[in-house]
Amino acid sequence: MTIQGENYKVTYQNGVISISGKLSLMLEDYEELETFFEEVIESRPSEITIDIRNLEYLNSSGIKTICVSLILEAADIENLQMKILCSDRYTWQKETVPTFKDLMDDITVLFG
Amino acid sequence: MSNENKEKDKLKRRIAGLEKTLQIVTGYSGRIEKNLRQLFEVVSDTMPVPMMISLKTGAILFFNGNAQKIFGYSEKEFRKIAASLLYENPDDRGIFLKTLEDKGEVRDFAVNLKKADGSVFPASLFSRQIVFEGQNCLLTVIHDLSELKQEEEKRLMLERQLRQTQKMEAIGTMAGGIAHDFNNILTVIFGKLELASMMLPGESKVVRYIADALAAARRAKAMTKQILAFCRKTEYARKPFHISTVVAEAYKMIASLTPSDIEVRLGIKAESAIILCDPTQIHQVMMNLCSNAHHALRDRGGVIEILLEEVRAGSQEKIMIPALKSGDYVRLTVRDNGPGIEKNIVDRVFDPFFTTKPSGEGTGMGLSIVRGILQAHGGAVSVDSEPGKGAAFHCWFPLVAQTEDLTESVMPQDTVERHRKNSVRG
Repeated sequence: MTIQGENYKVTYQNGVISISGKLSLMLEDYEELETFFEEVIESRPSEITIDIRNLEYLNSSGIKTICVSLILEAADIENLQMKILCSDRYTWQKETVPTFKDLMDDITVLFG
Repeated sequence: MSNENKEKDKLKRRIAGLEKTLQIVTGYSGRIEKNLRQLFEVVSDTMPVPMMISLKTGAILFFNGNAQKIFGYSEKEFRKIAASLLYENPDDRGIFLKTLEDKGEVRDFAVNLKKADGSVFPASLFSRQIVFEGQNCLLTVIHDLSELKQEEEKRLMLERQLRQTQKMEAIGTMAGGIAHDFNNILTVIFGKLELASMMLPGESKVVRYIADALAAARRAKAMTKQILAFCRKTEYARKPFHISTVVAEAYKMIASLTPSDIEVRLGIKAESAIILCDPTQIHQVMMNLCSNAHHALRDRGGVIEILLEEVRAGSQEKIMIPALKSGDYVRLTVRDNGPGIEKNIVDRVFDPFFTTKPSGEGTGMGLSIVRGILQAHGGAVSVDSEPGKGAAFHCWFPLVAQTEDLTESVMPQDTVERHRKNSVRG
């Protein structure tokens, strides 16, 4: 599955969601991404990896979409393991992604 | 656990998750807002132009350091002042706002703005409507045009000077040609008059007439010689001289010829300075300048100051006197405290045949000759004068060396001539 925008790309393959580029849509324009995450959750994977190492920028509406439509939904699935791959090149990732742990107990945040 | 309880538990977890999400998003937005504000302040304070944000009512909400600097208001004053008071004519702000309303933005709005001290400067405004701190505002960037205007004035002045120089060269070439031909004609007149005189008995009345004609022809010859000197057709031998001794000597002669109601003062601050010159020509420069000063002080008395000093010509002097090159000069100044020169003629005083003296009292060649001599010496002459404040003529001679600087390669000691060992100090 792939969503391709002007400055961003989101793919899902073999349990890995990769988000890259710059994602700064208005709140209402995140609907497509919410549906995308819904489909991922409905496929009942035992493990989800979110790779945002090439995601240069994500606005607050994007943060809300990932938190609510992906992480909180995943938290409701028993025994689902979640891993987030981050890059320490981007300050916003260093400052914000570790707080996602508050939303789900079984989440691993890895910087590289 | 019953299904109902399971659902309740799930709902509770979701509510807690949403609260945490709200915290995460709010924290993230706060950091972004802070970063953007910081970015805005850094950009506005780093940009090399004055900028401000104001309401349409005139209240100023934000201004950068350059705006504060250019208008000269303290931070506290700036926050209190109405934007319209920054305009020389406060009504101009109305026109500015109207333009902004009609076009959605303002580009290159020419206006005169007013500083805290009341002085006015030309500026060009660029403005757009923005939302700042939740209010509809105008972001205005001010382009100070003062320097641009000054540069334009300098350019126009240089153009005028260039045109004047070209005109002078053309006149010089033409006058030189006429003087040369006129000299040839005079030679024939002299020869024929002398022959005629020799053929007549000594007591003849005609001999006296011929003598008068010869005297007039001699005056004509002297005049052509002056014109040729002005045109630099005559080559003079220039040698290294201590200009101070030449000036001191000329001063003695000038002082002795000056009426008692005029005081002549001499100030030498460049005793060891050496220039390449023809002392006779330096004498002529001083005589011509002092003769004009005498004329300015005639019937009223006063002071003539002759000053010799070493100066350096930099970019400022080059702008004022384009003929100067950057470097060290010896400047000979002849200043009088006479009536000064009217503004409308000060640019013409070096023009040949220009004179303010009554008919028969001056040829209008004195200052032209001074300029010709200075040009031939690789220097320049300039004038400072205002009506009622006297006049000062500055003659700039390129400095070759100072006595203590002399080395054999520059100039053997024995070639440096001194007219006298002790120069006169004023």
